[in-house]
Amino acid sequence: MECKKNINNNELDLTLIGKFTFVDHSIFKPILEDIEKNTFNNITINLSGIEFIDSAALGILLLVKDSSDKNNISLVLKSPSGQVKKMFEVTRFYDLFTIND
Amino acid sequence: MKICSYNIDKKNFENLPSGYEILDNILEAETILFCKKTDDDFNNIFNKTANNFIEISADHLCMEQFIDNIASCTKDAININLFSSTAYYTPISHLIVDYTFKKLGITQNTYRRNNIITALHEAISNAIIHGNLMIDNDFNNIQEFCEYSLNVNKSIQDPNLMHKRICISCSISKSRLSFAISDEGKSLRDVGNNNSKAKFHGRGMVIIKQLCSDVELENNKITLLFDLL
Repeated sequence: MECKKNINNNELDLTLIGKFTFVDHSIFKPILEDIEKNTFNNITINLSGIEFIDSAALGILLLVKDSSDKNNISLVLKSPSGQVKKMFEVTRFYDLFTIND
Repeated sequence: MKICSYNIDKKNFENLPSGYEILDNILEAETILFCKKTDDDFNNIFNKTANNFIEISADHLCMEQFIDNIASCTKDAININLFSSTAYYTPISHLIVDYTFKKLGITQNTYRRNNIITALHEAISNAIIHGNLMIDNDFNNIQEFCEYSLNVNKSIQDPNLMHKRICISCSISKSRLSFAISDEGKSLRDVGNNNSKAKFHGRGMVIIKQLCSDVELENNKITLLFDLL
């Protein structure tokens, strides 16, 4: 997976492209560490470029949410589609996250 | 165990796609790895552990060639046997499903194809991480997740673990497609009814059960069954 990071005025925009799976833990490790340091006010994760997601990647998103909540950071997941949307439905992510289709 | 024995002969690889190369120091190898020069993950992993068992691998450009080299096919079944490291670094579930559909003459729409790929992917990742690498992903915060991440990176480069195998058998019978996935780890745990919203992990089996027509668990083997429409 490719992860494009853009930081602007304490706002973190992540654009993810490709397959987001259990092998991508290394990509998210530094991002999670940044969130833990509470350096952002808002985080947006754009998923429109994600063609496939697995349960491990969903776990990473849940970690991002947990840490964002603890640090009063607003988190929005944006534009899931296809298999990603189906996975969000199966795992009830729509009840847990702010998701902008 | 069969497969992945590919007699090394550089003449076989004269037509490698642009950007690919045969890695060094594998002249004694029984199998051969070819990869893109720019693919650091592949190069790092295999250069560190280059020995007599180097897997055949590739990216999307020549995946059919890749699968053709590791799969053994009969009229209505396909058997694939590969290293954990190869399964880890390749989109193996996509490859296997597309290859199986083609070889066994199966046609499914995109929605059902995605469901099958997803369930197979979850079973294979469980086999790699929990089975062969023997890692429990019981992280509950970022710090534990970072430790987990380091542990996975270390384990997938450990020759004693990365060369443990994943076996995948695909077959079709009476309009039912089955994938049996086995590893060299301990017995599987059925956590399919655990659907706690608060957990960061443990959803793999839940997803598998939602997407399959039926699931069978036996020791270190899981069989996914799909009714074909």
